[in-house]
Amino acid sequence: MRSYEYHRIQDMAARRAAFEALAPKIWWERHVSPTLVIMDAAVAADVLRNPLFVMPDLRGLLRELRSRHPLRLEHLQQALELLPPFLEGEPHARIRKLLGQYLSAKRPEIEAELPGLISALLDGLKRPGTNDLIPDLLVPLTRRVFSTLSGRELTDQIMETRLARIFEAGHSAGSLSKLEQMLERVFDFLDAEDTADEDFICRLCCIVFGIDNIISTLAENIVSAFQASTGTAPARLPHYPVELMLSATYRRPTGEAEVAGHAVHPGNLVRIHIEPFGYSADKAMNAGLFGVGRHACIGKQLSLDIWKHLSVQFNARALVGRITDYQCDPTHSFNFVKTLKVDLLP
Amino acid sequence: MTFDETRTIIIESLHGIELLSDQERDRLLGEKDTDIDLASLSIDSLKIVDWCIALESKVKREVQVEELVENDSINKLARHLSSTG
Repeated sequence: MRSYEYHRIQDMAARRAAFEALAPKIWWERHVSPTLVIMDAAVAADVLRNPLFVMPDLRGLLRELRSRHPLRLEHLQQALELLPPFLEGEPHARIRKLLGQYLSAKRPEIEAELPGLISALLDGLKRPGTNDLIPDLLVPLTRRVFSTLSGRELTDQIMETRLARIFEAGHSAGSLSKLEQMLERVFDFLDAEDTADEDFICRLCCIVFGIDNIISTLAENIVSAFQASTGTAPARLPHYPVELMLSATYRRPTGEAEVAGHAVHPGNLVRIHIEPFGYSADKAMNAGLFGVGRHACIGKQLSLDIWKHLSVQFNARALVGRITDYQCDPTHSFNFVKTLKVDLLP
Repeated sequence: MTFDETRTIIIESLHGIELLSDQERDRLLGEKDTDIDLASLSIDSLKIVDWCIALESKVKREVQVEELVENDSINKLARHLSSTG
């Protein structure tokens, strides 16, 4: 089984069984370009912490491309100068710190909103009846949170930008052009007059990193909960999320390296799967779902706030039902959930 | 677009970004059953995007890198692109 086929398995129990059966959990895939696949949480954590391994160089790629092709990608170029995963050294540390402070300052306001908001959304579900939990629950919840974060009510267009795809390893002219269009939309929405403005940078980071991640991560865990419940047993969300929208993240070595006995050379890619962190029996390892090392998720605490309030209220309602339509757009890195219809019993 | 037309576009586009030599291009165009794995071409991330740009301009649609990964030989890719036009 190829690694991207594995993460596209839509039955969560089957996906986990496939994971358990994998042996070895680290191997080479040589489709198009050589990639070392890591499905071992401890080894993944080591690589993520290792400064020799860096994010794929999208800034450099873009520079090269623009020197060779007539591509108009100004907004993408600007965004790559502002988003921490694409930065190194002082700018990387400075913007991460800035974003951390911004999220900390917004957290009390969001925390105060969450209980009432989630309660109203869950109360609005039809019981009995069919509910699409994407538009009925997860989009309005996420829209509210990110409207507060960005200081403006998010439009449908902004909710649908799918800018998380900026973090994929493989890009084509088409995908870069789409990102450019979406970023132009977001820059307009945020009234970007001064892209060096700290407030603008933080709001941009929130939209790019957060929206898709929150919607699809919550959706994947709700799918898992309903798939695991049988008969009249209510679906229950775990204390800590297990699934994540992000299935894999990529790194490239900046020099000769060795990973669990595999020699990795500059030019190779390392594909690090995230699920092993969620599946680990070691609770300390579960936190790796939000990343490890200098690119770990800055919004982790906010995400866990949302998770805590949603899981408590979701479980308190003892929802019994079955999934009737679950559709996602899987890529080689993400599962974007589009539809999650559930028939709920009274 | 037929399989043969698409296969020719793929071969010419690989030649255009210097991933195939003149001889390899001529051999592949002359031997329609011959196939090669894309992995054997040592394509790096920049070449992939270059290739996508060349392909997109010829097949008149967006080509995702994932399509190249999932259809990892010239003939597989030609079948895929000609059937999903």
